[in-house]
Amino acid sequence: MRTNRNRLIAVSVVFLALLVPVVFSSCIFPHGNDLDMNDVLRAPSSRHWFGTDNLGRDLLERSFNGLRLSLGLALSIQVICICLGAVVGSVAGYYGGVVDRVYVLVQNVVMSFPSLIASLCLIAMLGTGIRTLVLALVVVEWVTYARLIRSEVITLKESDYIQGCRAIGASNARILSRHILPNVVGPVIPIFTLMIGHTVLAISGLGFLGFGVQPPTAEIGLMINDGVTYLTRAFWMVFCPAAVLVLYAVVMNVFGDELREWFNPQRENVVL
Amino acid sequence: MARGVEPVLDLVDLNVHFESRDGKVNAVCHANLTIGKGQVLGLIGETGCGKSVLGQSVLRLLPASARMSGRILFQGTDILALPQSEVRKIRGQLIAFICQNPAEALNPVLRNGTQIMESVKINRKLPRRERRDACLDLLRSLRFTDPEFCMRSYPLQLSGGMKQRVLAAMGMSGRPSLLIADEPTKGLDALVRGHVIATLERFMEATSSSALVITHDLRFASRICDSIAVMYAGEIVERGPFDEVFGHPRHPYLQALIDSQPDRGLHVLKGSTCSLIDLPPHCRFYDRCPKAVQGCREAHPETVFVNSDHEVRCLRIA
Repeated sequence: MRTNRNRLIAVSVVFLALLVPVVFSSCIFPHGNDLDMNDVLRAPSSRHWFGTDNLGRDLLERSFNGLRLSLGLALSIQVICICLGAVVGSVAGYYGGVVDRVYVLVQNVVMSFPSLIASLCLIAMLGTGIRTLVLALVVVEWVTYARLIRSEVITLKESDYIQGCRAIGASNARILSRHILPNVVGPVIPIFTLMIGHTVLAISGLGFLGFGVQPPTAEIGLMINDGVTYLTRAFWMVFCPAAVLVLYAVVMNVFGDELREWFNPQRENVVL
Repeated sequence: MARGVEPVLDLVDLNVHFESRDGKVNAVCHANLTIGKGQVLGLIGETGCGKSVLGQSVLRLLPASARMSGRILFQGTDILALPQSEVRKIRGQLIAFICQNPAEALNPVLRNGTQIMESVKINRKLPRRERRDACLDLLRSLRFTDPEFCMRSYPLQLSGGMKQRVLAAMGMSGRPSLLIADEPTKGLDALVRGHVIATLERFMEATSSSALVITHDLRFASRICDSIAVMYAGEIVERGPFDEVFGHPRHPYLQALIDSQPDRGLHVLKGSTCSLIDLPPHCRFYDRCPKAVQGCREAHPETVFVNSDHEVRCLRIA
């Protein structure tokens, strides 16, 4: 137990430390979009740690600017997904019947599409832009939460304490919001962290394909796409942003896994 | 129940069954029960005989797969005929229910205080500030030495007996006129059991409420119950005033139950209860009955009054 806890603390510290340059990137790295035609395609050096791109922009600054955008977007997408998933999942799970059957049908339809292709189609139909990007990712990702919350609610609603609540005359709305949802927070939090990493990757993937954020905004997928053209002359244009993306995605996944372990009900010594 | 006492709860021909994949599970069949004002009725019987289902059906707390018929008259109104919204008003305020399993009956992620306060909030119209004091009073009356701590802590920080008393506090918060307690002494040691019994008694005295106590603790029943009903395989096989029923047990099942008590020599009754899915057309106790006669195989016994308020479901009595 002790080691588990220490590991979680260590991972959290690393995660938070890595978040600092991303969150404050507009202060630390304000020159991401500054062009310098005298400094084009420079290899990493002490002046430009990650080198510069074909327009002389500093790749370090742009990587972190881009990551901040992706993380911010991923966070908002996940929050929207959780709200949507909590409402739909808990109502479907709690009331069951026709509502539940309709929900399960929708869930199966959404899940049967490969998520990247589904969001590509949506963006292709609705046009590019940050709003459509958010919409497209919410549409494919909200079922993750709805599904989890529904299954939790189904087990919880049969529990003795929910029956007890009914016995003291609590209304359904009250039981759902005050008694069931707080119990769902535990399993949702780790999934939330894992999904943020996943969404950051999805945003970059769409950006790379030209369906996400549009230039000249700094975004990792776009930067990698730009770099592909110069791969033989300036490999750092692909390598550096990609390394940053992989690093953050891995750390977020490890953090999510640790959290999931931590919230695992089979864990001993539960202290709230 | 003594004559002339106004009934609080009157079950008339109550049937409860569940639709399951294997067939119809007849959990309660043709149950008739009456609880008078201020009286305590003990419902006893072995595990799986339908006691808890009967208790839960009074508040319509059963899962959606349950089908009920008959009448549940509470102070003259038929609970089975009421819409859900009306049943909710009865729950907690007029009829309180204390769950069977104290370890599972409190929400693990909410503080005890939050849960008791919620019950007080729903069931008693009190200004916000007085709610807390009302909770503390309740806990104090249930012998909590440190009610403040109890309010602050989470269920996992309490012992089984303390949880049981927190549940009792929640049940009592609405000052109900009928209390349904599903095995309130299960899993408690002798000392705490004594407290719980005293609490229940004090509570009923203070509110002059009635109670339906579901238990298989005969000694507990003897301390608290005015009348008793014995269930076997979904049927009430014997009921009447406590002293009368236990003084002169007539149904062979009750006789066997009494003989199986530790202080009566732990005589084990052979066999097991018939399945509630395919019930025999004859007497349900026939296979295990030490006193069965040929006639017991031929007809299903109806209830017979052996005297004015002692009713038995056995062919040999008739």
